[in-house]
Amino acid sequence: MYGLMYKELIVNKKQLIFTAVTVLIFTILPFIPDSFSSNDYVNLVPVFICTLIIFLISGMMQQGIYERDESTKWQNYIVSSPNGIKNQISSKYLFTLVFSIATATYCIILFELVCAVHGFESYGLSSMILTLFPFQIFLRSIETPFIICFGSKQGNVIRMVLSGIFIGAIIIYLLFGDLSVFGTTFAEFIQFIINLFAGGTSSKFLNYTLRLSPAVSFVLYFISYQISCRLYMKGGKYYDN
Amino acid sequence: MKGLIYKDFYLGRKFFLFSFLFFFITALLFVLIRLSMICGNLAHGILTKDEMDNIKTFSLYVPCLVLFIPFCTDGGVIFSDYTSKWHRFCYSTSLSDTSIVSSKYIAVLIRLTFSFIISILYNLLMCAFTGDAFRPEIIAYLYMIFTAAAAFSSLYTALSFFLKNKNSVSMTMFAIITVILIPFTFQLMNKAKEKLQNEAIPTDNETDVYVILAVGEMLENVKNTIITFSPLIIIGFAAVGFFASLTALKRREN
Repeated sequence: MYGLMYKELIVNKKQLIFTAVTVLIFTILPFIPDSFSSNDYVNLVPVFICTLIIFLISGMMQQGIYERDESTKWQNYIVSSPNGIKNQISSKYLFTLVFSIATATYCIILFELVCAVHGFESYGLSSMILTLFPFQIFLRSIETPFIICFGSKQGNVIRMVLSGIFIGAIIIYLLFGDLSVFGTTFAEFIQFIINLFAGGTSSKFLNYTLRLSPAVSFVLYFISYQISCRLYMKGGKYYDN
Repeated sequence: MKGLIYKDFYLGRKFFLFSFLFFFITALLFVLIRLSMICGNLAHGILTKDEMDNIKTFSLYVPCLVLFIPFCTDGGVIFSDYTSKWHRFCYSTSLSDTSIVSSKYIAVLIRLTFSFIISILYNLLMCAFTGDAFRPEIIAYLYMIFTAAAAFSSLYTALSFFLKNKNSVSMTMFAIITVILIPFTFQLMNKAKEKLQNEAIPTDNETDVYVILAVGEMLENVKNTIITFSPLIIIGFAAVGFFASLTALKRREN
């Protein structure tokens, strides 16, 4: 399995380099001196956006690792090796997990570093990144069995549909839902987000959801791995080569 | 001929279905936004009157553009004809080059007419839904979009026959549109700037008013010109495109 993980690094070398260069650009951007507002919350927004973009870039990189192994020859070879399917799937899952952990750690360090350099108070906002990480694992748990079962092309369509439903729900809430919880000004909105991730909201549901999300995400991730192992051979008929 | 047209639609069915779905989602989004402006969060004074008017205008035309733009193309059918060497199969049939090229242009006309009808229906539904009056200028603007789309489609089809590669055709179309639009845009921006200075329009954000004036001026001039000469534009582009496509097809065979 470690050999397969090493193979992932070699096969995806170009994509990893491209990802590293893009991440470097978004690492440098927050350090560029700019005119700052007196309101620390407003100053934190560009920093947080850069870390979010780094997260998204790493997510895109992780999606590409399945497509490159979509070959009937490779599938037949890996099935013939000892514990082939489990090793193949677990190498993918572990690679994704390690990559996500590395990205989350990197983003937290970057966030705190930028705040220290510019003299902002971080208000523990880097803990928001710790919330994004289990959310990313949760999304991978749902979409990966589809990608393994139907191939990356059709799996991506299913992922787009699920993302569309999620985004649609957010848009409908923004257009018709109760926005008073977010406050009336931008600074109040940022304060709400900070309270949310610091566990300081009045909503018990939100507090418990955020606290339990890492554990639940990892359990779902393991269940997703088991499902993917069973579905691996079904994906072969959707491969182009 | 009917078989050729049916073949083109059948081969491009996934592309057209996806494009129509995308139009449907865009239309639904704008319907929700208009509904929110009536009885949702957007009705609570979040937006200024100008912003609401802009959203109303966008909601009428943006979904129509989302429908027209992909329906201007053939979904890659001409490229796949060349890739699969379908034209060699045609030699064994009684199909003439003229009928092959004519079928492409008739398919273009069918697609654009369908888009035009759906756009009018969408606007009627939107006006009925929001209680606005269905103004005749909506049909005028849609007809302008239809004419421009017909010209674009003729050019696209002719280039597809010549270049036979999707990327080459896309880059050529982009270059042509950029070359035409840039001097035109600069000219209208200058006119808008003069108007802004001469009429001393009070504004907090000069750039916004400047751009809005330029776009408004451009649309008004273009609309009047295109609608006046619309039959000439459609027939002219279609005729030139038809003969160019026929020449390209005959040259490929030779």
